Amino acid sequence: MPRKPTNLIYGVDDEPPLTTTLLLGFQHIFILSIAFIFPVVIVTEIGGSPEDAQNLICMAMLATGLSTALQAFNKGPVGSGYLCPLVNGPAFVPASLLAGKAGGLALIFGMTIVAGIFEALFSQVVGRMRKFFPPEVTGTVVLMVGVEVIPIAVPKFFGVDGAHPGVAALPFLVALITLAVTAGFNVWGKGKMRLYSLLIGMVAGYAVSFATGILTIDKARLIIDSAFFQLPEIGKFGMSFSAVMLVPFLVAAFSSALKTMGDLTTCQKINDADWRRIEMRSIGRGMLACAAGNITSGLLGALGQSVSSSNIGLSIATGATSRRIGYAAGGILMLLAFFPKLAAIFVIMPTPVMGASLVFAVCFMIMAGIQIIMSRMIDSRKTFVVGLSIIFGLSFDIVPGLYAGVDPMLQPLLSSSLALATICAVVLNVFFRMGISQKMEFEIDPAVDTSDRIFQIMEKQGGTWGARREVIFNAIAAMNELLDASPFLGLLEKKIALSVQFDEFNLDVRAVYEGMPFDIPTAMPCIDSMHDAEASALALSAFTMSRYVDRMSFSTKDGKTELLMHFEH
Amino acid sequence: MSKMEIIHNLIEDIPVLFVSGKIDAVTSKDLETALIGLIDQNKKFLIINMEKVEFLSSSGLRVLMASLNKLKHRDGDLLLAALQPFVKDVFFLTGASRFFSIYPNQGEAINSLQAQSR
Repeated sequence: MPRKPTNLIYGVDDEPPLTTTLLLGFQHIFILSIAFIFPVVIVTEIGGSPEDAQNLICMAMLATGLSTALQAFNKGPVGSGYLCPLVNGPAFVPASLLAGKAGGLALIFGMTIVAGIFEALFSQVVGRMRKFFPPEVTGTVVLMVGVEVIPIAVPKFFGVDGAHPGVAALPFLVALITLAVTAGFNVWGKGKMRLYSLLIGMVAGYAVSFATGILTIDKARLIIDSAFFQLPEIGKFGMSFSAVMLVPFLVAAFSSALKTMGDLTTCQKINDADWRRIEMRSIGRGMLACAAGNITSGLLGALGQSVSSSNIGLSIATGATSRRIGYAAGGILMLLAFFPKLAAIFVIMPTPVMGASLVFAVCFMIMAGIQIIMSRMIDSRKTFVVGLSIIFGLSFDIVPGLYAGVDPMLQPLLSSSLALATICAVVLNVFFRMGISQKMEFEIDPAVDTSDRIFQIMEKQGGTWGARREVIFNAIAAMNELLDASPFLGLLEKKIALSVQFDEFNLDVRAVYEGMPFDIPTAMPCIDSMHDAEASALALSAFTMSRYVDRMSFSTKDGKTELLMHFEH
Repeated sequence: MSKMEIIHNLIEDIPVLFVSGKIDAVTSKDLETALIGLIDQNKKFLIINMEKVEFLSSSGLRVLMASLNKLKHRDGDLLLAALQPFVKDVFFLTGASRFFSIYPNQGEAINSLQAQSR
């Protein structure tokens, strides 16, 4: 079982008290509700009515509620086991707009089912594709998942929209107060205060919005005017299919699947103090949960969904990642579909409060991405993979309309900074892997060489392989111990041949020298013997070497000794 | 050739060696010479500031342990300060940490010695 990091109050396997679980679930829904804007955008663009939009939001609550709970399952074939809520996400907006304009809501829902089936198939093969997703790729994706939210968050934070192109003082003030309260409770709050920092910030934001007139009585009336209980109209618009829409929806599903991979990688990392690498099994199960969510969305009459990065940012910020919160958030969401009065609380969320909450969550996503990238040694190949992907990813937001002329079928691939950066990272990783040998050989001359030579060779190779820094350091230290021991093994006039082999799980060093094996003491030599190098140096070197390796063994043949040192990676 | 530098300081009458670079089979001989020199001057308490030490092999560890042993036999001590994580690992992996007084920084090492002498 993974070791729970000390900064988590409730880890993935922990069971917070019921009230705490429900409150934390509500806190996640506040973030999720920001995405209810997308059904409104789609319906408005294709000329639907406000009632259609309301129905879509209602179905979104049912569908994403189900998939959020499903995603948290850690038993059975579906569900990553992590708190990783889903939303009717931006990944499907461009494809849904195309389908909506061509064939109305029915076509959107039909094609969303097709996307779900594709995602389900992809989830079955993703486990065999690990080499395409090393930490520099997944870290870049996670980083860009955070960056992608910035163009949505910042205009809301500054009160900028079509009607107000400049910074609006009052909304900005509300956003600033919301962010200050949230960040303040998160940084200086203890226990529960940190857990509920976003909830407290949002309540403050609602209050200030009401006091300053940003949240008007008219808007607040929606709560009073909404029915207390209402049965949702499931599958109201039916569904249809079109071969022409296949490419955009498959591309959207692929982008969504990659985003799922990035987000679930973050979930793995934040829940395991000893995290080393992406674990593909839970990624595959998580993708299957997303696929089930998309098929459900299509059947019920909701937009395509993908995991919500902002909610993962919230989990990191609050230190609460228990899967029970996922069950709670999913359950509450589904209930809200039957209680429009309660759902209205989220629907009327003031824009600056949305902006501040997103900015808060994005900070944690960006840092999670940087940490994943830097968990491995970086050489110039990886610098290009990360750097170029971020540059071209950002180009989407920095130069609006840059990719407007691209074929509409390929638009979803270029539909966001995240999609662009992800494709760049995956392709560049494949390209720059060319010519990398997994085995490297060199010689050391104990009469001439020092630790510097071993450092230079191994650090360069460690960067090329993208190995973990600490494992390469252990190998360097163990090789140096052989160098330290060489005068006492009679190797000053001889050379030591070294070969180092690497794969994602193992680093093996093979040292061959003319001479005999040496004893490996099980305890440190006595401190009283240390003044006499002849008496203690070889034993101390051998003992120290044994502490760096996970396994070592000797064999002899034709007067030569072969020392094998194994390091878990 | 590995690079290591040793700067001798006297802070509040306590000899402090500021060591930087890699301490391996070659450079540990210079460290040994420096430490023996101070011990031969009848210094009982020494501090080594290891903030800039990038690497420590068993040759360096042996020199430190031998010097510590000599000082302990004279009721003295060898204090280590500001170890980088990888260097600290060497002491904890081998168990040598149980012999040494290890301080997070030079100031705390000096304070500890001053408190002992009061």
